[in-house]
This record gives sequence, structure tokens and C-alpha cells, in this order.
Amino acid sequence: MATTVDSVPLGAVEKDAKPRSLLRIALSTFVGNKLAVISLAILILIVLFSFLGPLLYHTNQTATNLVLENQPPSSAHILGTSPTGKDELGRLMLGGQSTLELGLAVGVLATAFGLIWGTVSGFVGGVVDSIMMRVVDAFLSIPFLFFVILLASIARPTLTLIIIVISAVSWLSTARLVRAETLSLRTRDYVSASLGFGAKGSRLIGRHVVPNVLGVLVVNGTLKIADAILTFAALGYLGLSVPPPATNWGEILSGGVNNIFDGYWWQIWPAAVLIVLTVLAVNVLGDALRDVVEARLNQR
Amino acid sequence: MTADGAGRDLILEVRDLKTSIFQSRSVVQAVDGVSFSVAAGETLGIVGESGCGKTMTALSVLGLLPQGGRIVGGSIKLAGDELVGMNREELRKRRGATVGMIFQDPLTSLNPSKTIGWQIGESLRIHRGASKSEQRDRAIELLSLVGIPRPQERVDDFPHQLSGGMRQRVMIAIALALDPKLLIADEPTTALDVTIQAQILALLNDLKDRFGMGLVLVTHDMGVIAGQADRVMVMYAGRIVEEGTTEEIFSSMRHPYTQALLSSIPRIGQDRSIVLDSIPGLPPDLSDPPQGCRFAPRCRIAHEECHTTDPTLEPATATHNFACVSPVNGPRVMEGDRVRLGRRSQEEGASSPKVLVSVRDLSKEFTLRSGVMQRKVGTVHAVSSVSFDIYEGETFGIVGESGCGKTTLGRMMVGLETPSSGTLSFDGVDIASLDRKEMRRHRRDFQLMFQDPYASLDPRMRIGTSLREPLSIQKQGSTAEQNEVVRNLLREVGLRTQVIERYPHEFSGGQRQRVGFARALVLGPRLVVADEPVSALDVSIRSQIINLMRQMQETHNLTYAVISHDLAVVAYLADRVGVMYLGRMIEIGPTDVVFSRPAHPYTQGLLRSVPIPDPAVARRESKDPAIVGELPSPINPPSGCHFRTRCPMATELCAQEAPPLKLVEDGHQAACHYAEEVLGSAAFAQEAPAPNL
Repeated sequence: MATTVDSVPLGAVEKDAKPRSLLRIALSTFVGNKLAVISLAILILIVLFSFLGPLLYHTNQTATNLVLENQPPSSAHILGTSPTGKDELGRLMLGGQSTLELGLAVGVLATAFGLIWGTVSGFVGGVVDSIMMRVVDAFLSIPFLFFVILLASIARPTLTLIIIVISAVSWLSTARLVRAETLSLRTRDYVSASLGFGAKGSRLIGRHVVPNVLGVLVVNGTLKIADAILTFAALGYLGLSVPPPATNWGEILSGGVNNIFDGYWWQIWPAAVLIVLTVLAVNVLGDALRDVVEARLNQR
Repeated sequence: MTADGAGRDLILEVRDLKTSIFQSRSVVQAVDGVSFSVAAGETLGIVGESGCGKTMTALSVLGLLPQGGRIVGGSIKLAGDELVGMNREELRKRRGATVGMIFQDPLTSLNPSKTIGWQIGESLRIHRGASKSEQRDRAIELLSLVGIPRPQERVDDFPHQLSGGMRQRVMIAIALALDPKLLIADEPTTALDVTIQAQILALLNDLKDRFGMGLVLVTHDMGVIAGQADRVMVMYAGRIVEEGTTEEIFSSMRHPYTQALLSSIPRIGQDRSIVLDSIPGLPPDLSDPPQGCRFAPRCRIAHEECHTTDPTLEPATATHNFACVSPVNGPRVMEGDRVRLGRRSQEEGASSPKVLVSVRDLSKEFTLRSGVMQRKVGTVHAVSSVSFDIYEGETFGIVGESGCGKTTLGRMMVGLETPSSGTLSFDGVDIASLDRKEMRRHRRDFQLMFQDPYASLDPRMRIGTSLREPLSIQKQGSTAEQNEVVRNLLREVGLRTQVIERYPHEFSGGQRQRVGFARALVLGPRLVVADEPVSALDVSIRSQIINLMRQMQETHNLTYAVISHDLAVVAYLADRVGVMYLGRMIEIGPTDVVFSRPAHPYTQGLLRSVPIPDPAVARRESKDPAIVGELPSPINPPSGCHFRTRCPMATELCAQEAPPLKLVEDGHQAACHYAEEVLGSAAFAQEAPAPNL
């Protein structure tokens, strides 16, 4: 090869910085955010409390025991008992299980469906895009509570049904977000370049669009979990949730509110605090993840 | 206020200025001991690569340093008043009234939600408490001063209603509102087309003379400096490495950096077979500057002493200082390295060459739609009825202002855009007639090299995967074979093979363009369409990429179509050139013929607008802009000849009939009714600058 072009060996002049993996950059950004680390710790504790707690702290959550109703905290019942005489601490654990399961399920379902709907709509464009987005608009125009009450009057609610119902509402905004991202991504030069190499549409979506949407999607999905938990609590409070003996934090709260003038604080505060803590922690985590995603982009 | 040697008042005196940017982990010494002064009526040019402290010096004077930026030492005297250490309120008043600033991008510097009149009046309101009607009167006065037609109507326009050139004029009007004594222009014309650039530079020069202002012109464009500056300051790594009058810097420079900067720029009319000079590597990291001379690691003639002794500015003449222990003497003569020109240059063109790409009556229209019903509201004629051939092995240049359709044409040539009408055949095969599957297979023959290599690489893919992608799409070879192809190409474009593990953001601009180039070559194409291949790069790196393109053309038997608004780059690279205006090809011919004897008034004006990096030539040429006005809208182009609205020779005939491309001499076609007259006009004599300067 003629030496007419001075080749610039990497590292000859500039410092040969060790390539930092994206994961490492992400991790260091995350650890740098103290609030996020605390939130993550809180969430882990709540998960342990809900799922490991019942193994260490045995209670009877199936039988109603009117003798024991509305007992204040004691050595036998650390957080007292419910209006139906069940151990309050045990109920919080049980309620936590369904709440966390629902949050995660809705987060995953809504995100997955929104991702597929959004990328197809944004990438194919034209008439297909118009139709798919009008479907989203139509769903968004249904009043949610009315929809749930209607469903509750038709079918007996189960956790699975509630997950599906909340997901059916949650995916809409995700789909819109993903479509907007896809629209901007598909005009990027690297997508054009790939097209110029002869790539098919499926490859462009799989290799270039989805990985680049993923960052925003993770953030969005996390926030969806928080929303779902709040919605679930609201449904429980309104009595539109899974019937007893199953329970959730909203339902516990609603039982306690009936006795609000009797000063049975143990029936209200623990559930309320758990709801707030969980939602807050998930939201902070979502914000932190957004910073992580953006930090990774800033490094470029 | 002190005076300079010629008895003019010194408006700005900077002594030993040190500016640092404090970051979370390091301190960047962006400006490190810079001293200079600007007198009334004088233009000081500041040049250097990006990251050398040019902009930081300007921002220090203005007090607009970015977050973490602080002046840590030295003195800035503005009209006799010391600014360093002055309290904020006082500083605000003093600066606002004495200095005007013009930024690079007029679109982001203007507030989109306020009228331009309001924005011009803003500083009057703040600094002088002017009333509404006073503000408006002054705004109208300023708008007419900066050459905006019908200022009474324009004063209530919003920024989006103005073109790029007009917006830059508004920015100048804002800077002038308080009758500043000093104007600081940071890359004022970089974002503009060459014809508009000439207009803006002429305006700045005129205003400076009329009001006796000092002008600080920060730019990377040596041509602009040669035509505008009285004195030049060359900055490298936060320091001044050489300063002097423009003539001294251009014709008897002493610092190797200045020499290399000047010999790395291609010029119109130079010997195309001579390899361009280039500066290897990058400017140093200023949070940890190297010992000794900061340029030593990249210097062609550095010796041991350079790496240990830190040179100080020493006088060469009364006005000329430089900082180098082994100075050079005058411009470098490049002669040693030569490359062979594209295979179909005139000398070898005896045997009839093979046509690789044949374009006939090619058009592309974009329909503008609006509203829910997607009603058709207009048609953009991006490319209309273009015909030309590209021969195998040659480099075909396509030039024109932005918006003339050259990028759309390039994208059609690589099948990223489908033509609305006309034919495009590649090696005898009509591209439009291919079905999807055949088209996918054919794509390996023609590839696009993108302007911004950063945008053309998926940020989440390692370089190795990105480079292998074309091969796996085309299902060529096993993974091991693909890796071998990738490694060989990386070596050929001058990168180490270890870089396959890296992500795009871990490369410098020049390295990324090498990767982008390698990626375009992975499939072994016969045609490479290069869309502004060096526009996004620094001067010193441009020549590296241009040299590399030349070399790869020979070793890989490539045919190039180079699209650029930079005439000098095309003049250096292309064997033949096509000039486009508003979607039409208005002149085609061998590059040296078209650029020395243009037969279309547009080409002529375009060539005269290009700033020539030689003060002697630049000064001799008249400072009047060669092409007036702005590009008409492609939605509603003028009747007849599209150029007639800006053409000095236009007649009735031009409005009625669009001139077809006709042969004016051997191999030279032009679309002008008066092509023969233009060609014969003695009025135009394009001075070719000395090729080796």
C-alpha cells in the first residue's frame, strides 16, 4: 500500500482510553444517584416483606374471626387486627403480593403490546399507521372507571382479569410514545444506511429501531408499574377488586376508613404508607433510569 | 484609552488571559495566557482547529462562558475599562453597550415566539429604557442598514418567516442596536451557503468601515480570513502560536502549525495530482496539556528539544510573532507525494470509456400534504429532468447551494429514493425495472458515504458489528470470512483492528469518517456516492479523508459521485463536474474547464463567491457579492430559466423559455441562452492561485 495517506494509529496522539462498556457507564450513573439506590433498597425490602414474610410470620387469612375484630396492636398481633378479625400484618403481606404481581404484570404486558403496536404503526406508516392510531384514540376515549364497573357487574373479578383490564388501558400511551420514537428513528442515517445495504423491514425494526427505543421504553414501563399499583389500590378501595379472602392494600384501606372515627389507626396508616412508599420508590427509580439512559446518550 | 501604532484607539486589550473550565473531575485550561488587542476600524481574525480555544477567548471577553467556566487570570480592557474583577451589574451594563455578538446559527440565536422588531428593540429597552415607538423606529433603521428590503413590513415578521441569510442579517442588526465599538463574530457564515456568505461578509466589512468598529472574526475558514482580516491570530491548544498581519501569516508564516493548516486546504485550480498536506492526530486534551511545545506530537519537523522546551512568542518583525524553536520559512511546497488521477482523466481518455451510470430525464417530486384529509397543497420539484453520464473509474462532482436537489439526486443514485419519472441505469440495467429481491442484490454495487458518520452508525452497535452488517444482510461468507474482510478494510483506512470492540462515540470525528468510509466499501461497491464527505470535519482532518478517498479509488477501482457545496473540495477530487440550480443541472463538463471557463452565469457567480485563501487574490477581487438575492422556493420556481431572478444578464427570453443543456465546447454543456457570450466574456478572469501555496 502506498504511503500517500498518513495513517493515524489510534493512541499515537490521543490517549488510548479503555473502552468503557455501556453497562458500566449506566451502572456508575445509577449508583451516583443516592435517592435511586435508597428507592431500590425500599423496593427490595417490600418484595421480601410480601413474599418471604408469610413464611416467617404465620397467620390465618382465610377464616373470619369476629371475636378478634378491631384488636389494637399486641404481642399476638403486631399490627392489630382487621374489621373481620384477621391479622393486619399478615394481610399487608398478602395484599403486597397481589399488588406487586399486578404492577409487574401490567408493566410488562402494556410495554410489550405498546412496543409492537407502536413500532409497526410508526414503521409501516401510511394508511396502516392512521388506522392503528385511530384504534388507540378510540380506546383512550372510553372512561376507565365506567369500563371497570361495567366489567365487574358482568364477570367476577380475578387478579388475571384485573391485570388484563389495567393493561388494556396502559398500553395506549406507550404505543403513542413508541410510534413517535420510531418515526424519528426511521429517518436516521443508520437506518438509511442499512436499507442501502439491502436490509428488509423486519431487520431494520429488530436491529435498529427496537434497541434504540428500548431506553425510553424501560423508563416508561417503570412508571407504568407505579400507575398500575395506584389504579389497583383505587379499585380495591372502591370494592371493585378480587373478592375476599384475597386482598390488596386498597381494600385494606377501605376497611379501615369505615372505622376512621374509632381511632383504629393500624387499619389505615400501614397500608397507606406502603402504597405511598412503593409508588414513590418506583417513580424515583423510573426517573433514575431515565437519567441513566440519557447519560449513556450524553457520553456519545 | 490607549492607541495602537497607527494612532487608532485600541478598543479591546487582552493581556495574559487565562480561562479555565471546572468540571467534576478535571480542570480544562481552555485559554492559557492569550494577549491581543483590537483597534477601531480593524478586523482581527482568530483561526485554529476546533477545541483550540478560539470560541472560549471570544466568550471570555463577552462574559458568556459556559457552566463551570471562569477567568482565572489576566486582564481584559474594553474601551479602557478593566473587565476582570468588575462587579456583575456594572459588567452587564458596560458589555451590553460596547460589544455586539454574532453567533454561528441564526436560527437558534433568535427567539421563535417574538417578532424580529421586538428582539432588536430588546437591548434598547434594557440599556436605554427606550419607548415602544423609539424601539420600532430604531429597529426599522437597523433593518434597512443591514440590507433587509422593505424593513417597515419586515419588522413585524417572526424568525421562521425569514431565510437563513436574512436571519443572520437580523442577528447583525441586534448586535448593532446599541452602536457597539466592538463586534465579535463567531463563525458568522459557517452555516450559510457560499453566495449568502459573500453577501454577509461584504455587509460586515461595510458596517465596520462605516462605524469605525473593531471586528473580531473567529472562523476555521482560511478563505474568509484572507479576504476579511487585517491581522490574524493562530491559536493552538489554548495559546497563540503565531500572530501577524494577514499577508505575513499567509505568505511568510514561521510556525509549522500555520504552515500545515494552510497547505492542507484544497484550492480551486491547483494541481490535482499532488497529495494534500495533513496534520495527523488531534489537539491535546487541555485538562492535561503535554510538556514542551503543545504542537510537537503532531509536528512534521519536531525534534527532541520541542518535546521539552515550551516556546514563547518571539518577534519575527514588528507585527509578526511566533512561538516555535525550529521555525519554518514561508509556505510548504508539496511535491513529493503524488497520486494517479481518476482513470478517466483527459490524458488517458483516448479509448472510449465505459458508462457506468446513465441518468436520463430524472425527476423527483415531493408532494406536500396538509390537514386531516392529507390534501395536496403543493409539490416540491427537488430534481427536475436531469440527464448525465458517469464513466467507470472517474470522479463526478455535483455542486450547488443547499436546496438545489443534489442530495436527493445522490439518494436516487443509490436507490434510497425512487424517481418520480425518468430512468437511471447502472451498468446498463434500469434500476427501476428490478423487483425487490433483485434490487436488494444489486445494492451491493452502489453505496452511499454519509456526511455525518456519527449519524450513520447505530449508537448501540459495536463498530465490528456495524461493519459486518452489510455482509450479513447480503449473506456473504461465514462469520470468520466477514471478520477478515472487516479487519482488512480497517487496516486500509488507517485504523487498528482492535477498534471493532468500540462504540461509535469512542471515536474522534476523523476516525469515525474513516469507519463510515470503510462501511461504504465493505460490500465491494463499484460506485460510491459521497454526500458532503468532509463538510462535518475539521480542516486538518478533511485533507486526510480526501487523500484516503483518492487512494482507495485507485486500489479498489471505485467510481465516485461527490456531492458538495464546497467547490474547492470538488475541484480537487472530481474529474468532471455538474452544477445544479433549483433541481436542474445547468452546467456539466470537465472540472478544470468548468471552473476556469464557466459558461453559465450561475457557475460564474458561484466561483466568484468562494473565498480564496490567498490575501493577494482576495483583496484584488471586488468585494461586491457576485450573486445577489436568495434561492427561490422550489415549490413555486420562477418561469423559464430558474436562475433569471438572480442573473445579471437575464432578458425577456429567459423568463419565457427554459434553456436546454447545449454543447458549448467539447465535453462542456451549459443551460443558458447566452452561454457562448458568458464563455467568451473577458470580464471574468478566474485567477488561479499559485497551486502550491
